[in-house]
Amino acid sequence: MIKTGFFLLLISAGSAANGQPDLSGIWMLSGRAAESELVMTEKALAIQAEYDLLVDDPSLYCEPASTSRVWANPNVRIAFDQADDHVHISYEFYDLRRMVPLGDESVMPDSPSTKNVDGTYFAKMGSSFGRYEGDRLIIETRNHESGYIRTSRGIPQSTDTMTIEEIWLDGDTLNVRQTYIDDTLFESPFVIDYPFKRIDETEMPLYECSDADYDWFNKLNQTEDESE
Amino acid sequence: MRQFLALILMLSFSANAHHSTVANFTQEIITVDGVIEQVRFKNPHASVLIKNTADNGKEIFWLIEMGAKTTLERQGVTLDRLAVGSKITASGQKGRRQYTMYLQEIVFEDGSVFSPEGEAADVRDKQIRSELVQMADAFVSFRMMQGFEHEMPLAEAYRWQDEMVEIMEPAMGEVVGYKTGGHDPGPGFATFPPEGIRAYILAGMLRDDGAAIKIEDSVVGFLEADFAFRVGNASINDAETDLEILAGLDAIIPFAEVPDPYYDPDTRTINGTIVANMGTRMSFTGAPVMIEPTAAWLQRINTFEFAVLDENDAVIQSGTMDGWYEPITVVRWIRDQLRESGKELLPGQLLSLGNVGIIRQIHEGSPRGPAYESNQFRLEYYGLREDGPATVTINIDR
Repeated sequence: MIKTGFFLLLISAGSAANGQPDLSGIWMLSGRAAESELVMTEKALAIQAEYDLLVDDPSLYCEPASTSRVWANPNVRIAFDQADDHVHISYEFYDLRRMVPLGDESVMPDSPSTKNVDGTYFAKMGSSFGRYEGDRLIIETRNHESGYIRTSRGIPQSTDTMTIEEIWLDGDTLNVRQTYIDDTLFESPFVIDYPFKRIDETEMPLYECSDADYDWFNKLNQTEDESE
Repeated sequence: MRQFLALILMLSFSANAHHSTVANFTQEIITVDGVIEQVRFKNPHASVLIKNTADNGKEIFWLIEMGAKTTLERQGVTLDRLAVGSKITASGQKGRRQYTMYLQEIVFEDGSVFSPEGEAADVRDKQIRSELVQMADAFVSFRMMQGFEHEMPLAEAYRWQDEMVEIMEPAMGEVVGYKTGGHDPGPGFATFPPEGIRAYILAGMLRDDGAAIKIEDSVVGFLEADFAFRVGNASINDAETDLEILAGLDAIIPFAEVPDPYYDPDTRTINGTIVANMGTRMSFTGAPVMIEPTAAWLQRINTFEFAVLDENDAVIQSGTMDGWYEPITVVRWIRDQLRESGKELLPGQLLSLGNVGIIRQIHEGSPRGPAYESNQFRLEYYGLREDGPATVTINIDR
């Protein structure tokens, strides 16, 4: 059970060394994102055709459908904690905490990199490792469980999906470019750009997702029907 | 990889909210009445559960959904008005799930209305008004104005400028005219709309010809050589040709000013500049030069020369209107911009058309140039009067 209240973050304020981006602070999606032309394979189109938002959306169970789905949510906070050997990303959305070790592929964990504050891991967020390249943080993610990059349109991800997230600062804007690579689903890499703005806040409240499915509601009218 | 990515056609799309209204709700607008059973202010969906009783007595629960709690909180929306037991009528988009709706508005028995968008707008308006009061107080008190960082159309920024001026009027007097900027061929300002900017001139800003200012009368102010007309009659509001516009003006007003755009430079925005009335502080007016609606006057207005001189009659800088802005074109822009804002020009109002290309800083250390060292800033227009230059003078009392 998630405790009510604020989850306090210690936000580092110093500038990162060696030209690395200083991602400290609280960020929030700002404005419109952009995506590349999407050309899906027959397999992906078939998955999409089968997809029923009202039933298949993992959001109904307070579960992230993909890293893309998490980056895309408006009006929720995101915070980075940069250490020498890892980057820890806190997402207010679903109270997710993502640990990204820095190094080559050998540091990628076997288990999912993302869990919520209750300790539940989410394989749809994959296993990640990262590195700095100049002024960018690069995160590579593999070992995804099947999920949906876009839940509103049923754009799938599979166990073959690899993603590359490039994160860099441009003035006051934090840019996240996510590239989806999966030959079984996409004819060419599928790229999504998200802009974020730093907000003048220091706390990460708990999201406390609950009753996302409609079972509780549907039962109300079923009960009424049954009583007739 | 980056080069490859740069070549990819990037298509813009809306960041999808958690609860995609497009995907979860139809475009059909429905209305349901009932009694509020539960108010659920939570993530990922805030909602109101109501019980509807049909004519045959059958009771159906309806889920009236809204955005996420996080979204509503960020907009300042609370659901406090939605009391359990209230009889309401809810309207909104019919859900793809049975007995669900995405709320547009709730009407209470007394006719009052709740809508998340309306509540958010009220909260935002209240916040903006509070900011305006602080900005006006800062300006009148010679303190730095903080930027106005709200994203909104220019028309809305001008509406907030109206409110800003209403707040400032008790201290700075009634509206006596308008000023504009950004119409000359020089480099534009990043904090001006590309098409030009408009602000108010208030009675308390006016200074007599030859009045003296002290250095401390502004914080970041500067001496600016301008050019102005006076509105002669209301025909200008419907004038079409340049001569018709000229017929709506009765005089040229020699005009120099000391704007004082004391904004926080880190937060200054176009909307902030509009709302802050361009930091208009002091306007100096010389003796009117009466004009006639003739082609000859149009020619003189478009081509006259001018200069700024100091107390020793030394020319500080000179120029010509030929190749600068066309005064009647700028008057037309002000007239049209005001009309878009629902305003009309009134006889006697001043119209300052903006800098003619001569600016001098008052204060040391300005990033825009060295401080003016002379004790007089006398602007002279040549060729507008038969008996000598038309002038307006600002003296500096050091």
